Amino acid sequence: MKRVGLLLALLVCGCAPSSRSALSIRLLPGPALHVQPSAEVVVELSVANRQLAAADVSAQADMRHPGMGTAVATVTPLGRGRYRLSNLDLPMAGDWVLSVKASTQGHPVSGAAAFSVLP
Amino acid sequence: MTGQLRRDVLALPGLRALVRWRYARLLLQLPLLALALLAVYDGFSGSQLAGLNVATVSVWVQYRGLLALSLLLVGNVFCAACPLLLTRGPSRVLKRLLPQRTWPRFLRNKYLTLALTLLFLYSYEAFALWASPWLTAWLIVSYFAAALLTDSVFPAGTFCRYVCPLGNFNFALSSVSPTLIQAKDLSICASCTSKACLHGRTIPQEHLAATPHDFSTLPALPLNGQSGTVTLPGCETRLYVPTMTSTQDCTLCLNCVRACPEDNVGLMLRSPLAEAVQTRPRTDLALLLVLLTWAGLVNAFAMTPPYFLLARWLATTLGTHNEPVLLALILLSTLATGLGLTLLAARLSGLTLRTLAPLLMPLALAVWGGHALYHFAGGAGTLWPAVQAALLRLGLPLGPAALPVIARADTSFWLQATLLELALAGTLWAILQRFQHTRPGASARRLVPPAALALLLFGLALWLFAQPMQARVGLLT
Repeated sequence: MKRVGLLLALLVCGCAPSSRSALSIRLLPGPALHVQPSAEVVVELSVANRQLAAADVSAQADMRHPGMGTAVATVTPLGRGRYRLSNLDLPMAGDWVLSVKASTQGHPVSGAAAFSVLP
Repeated sequence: MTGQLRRDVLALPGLRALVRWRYARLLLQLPLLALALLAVYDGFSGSQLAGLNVATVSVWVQYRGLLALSLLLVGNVFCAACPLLLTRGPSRVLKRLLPQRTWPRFLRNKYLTLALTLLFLYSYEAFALWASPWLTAWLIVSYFAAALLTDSVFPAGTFCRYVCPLGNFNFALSSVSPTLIQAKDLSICASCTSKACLHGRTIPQEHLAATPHDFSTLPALPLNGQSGTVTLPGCETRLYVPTMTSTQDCTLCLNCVRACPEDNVGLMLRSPLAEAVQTRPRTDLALLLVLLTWAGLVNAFAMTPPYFLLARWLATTLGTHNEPVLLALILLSTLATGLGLTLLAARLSGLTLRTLAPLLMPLALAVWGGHALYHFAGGAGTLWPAVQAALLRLGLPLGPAALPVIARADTSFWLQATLLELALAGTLWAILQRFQHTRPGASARRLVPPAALALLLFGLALWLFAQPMQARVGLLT
């Protein structure tokens, strides 16, 4: 019933879903990403402007277009809130969204950042 | 090749009994209704990543792919299973409360559908509907509301025939499907006075079991029936089976099959090119066919690098970065060019737009189908994880939720190329047949313009499908 209420509230209010997230993600400058089966990016993660040094970080990339599947990254901490995300399978050029989940001091945080892949 | 094969698909064991069952259509509609409701729920409340949401995955990947397959292999199956028609129950109630109107005469054509199709094509790119679960959910809700309201105020079937862009897309492209509703024996229709396939018929309840062809399997829908009678509805889009030569306006509801007292209506196999050669649609419909033909190319074009190069060139040339304006310019100019080329080919060949437009339908289906199957081939497996995640949030766990695997459609180009080649061969053959039927003494040179137009469509589509596909939300980013 609560879910029906939530649905009705959304319908009545007509409000778009929130894009706020607790985790800030900054993709560090690097070579342009092209279509490839094993891409690599380095990101800097922070929560409330404090670099995230959590050990438990997972990341995935999804295309803005549906039906392309999810690329799961291998995450390697580099220190100072930086993480290398590797083995990203990027089969199509266009707009992608990087989603990162982490656990800091027992609290789960998550965030998303857009990035572009060239042909 | 255009001759009737006279094989009735409904003669397959058990199929006729099934379609005459009162709940046959409901059986098809309920799964799609359930999926539509889940899509709306997930679109409004689930992940806003398009690839992880039931709304976007089901509508823009699965639905379009399965639609293309069904049109290629059977016919307008999706109108037959359309869950929007389940609004007929509520609309019958609303009809008692709302003033009843006849559909305005000036709208009894395809121009409204044509305008709505253009609006949809523009909105699809301008608002990146394909990337937004939230907007896709609104689109589904709006569609249900429009169907309900239209058929509550106007006669049932008005929405399907005169409004629904999706249904009219299906009507148009099913013109090259291998089946058509037809009378099994026209001599039986010649002596028919009731025209039950068109008007429906009311029969006493006790006659259900006594009538021929085992009506006991068909406890008919008691629509507006007096006490002790049942009404078998006729065709809501006002088609009369013995005169049908086209799938246009046929929702494949099979009411005619159920209503015919002589069991004389079949879903007959035919050459997919029969309609292209034999029909001559009204001008409004011919324009819609031409629009859909070129819109298929534009829709695929919007996923290729040259599209974005063109947008940047236009932005520089016109000195504007207003994306909605640039998009409107690209859409309208490409469609207008397509229409202009089609008119030119018709004029140079001595044909009319009305006779040339149906000849392009095989290529139109190949272009739309090739594009839809590209996404479907790679993304067929991405629906289930989204459904799992949505049901999990509803408290219905269906196994461990998994992420959709990365889609690859590496082999789809060969499928697309094969489809296009078959369509080109069919179109060229249909052009030849059309000339032999309508202009037997015409010079062979008259064949060149429509053949060149078909080759141009083929070449453009092949070139587009060979491009590295990309999906970008912005035009200039």
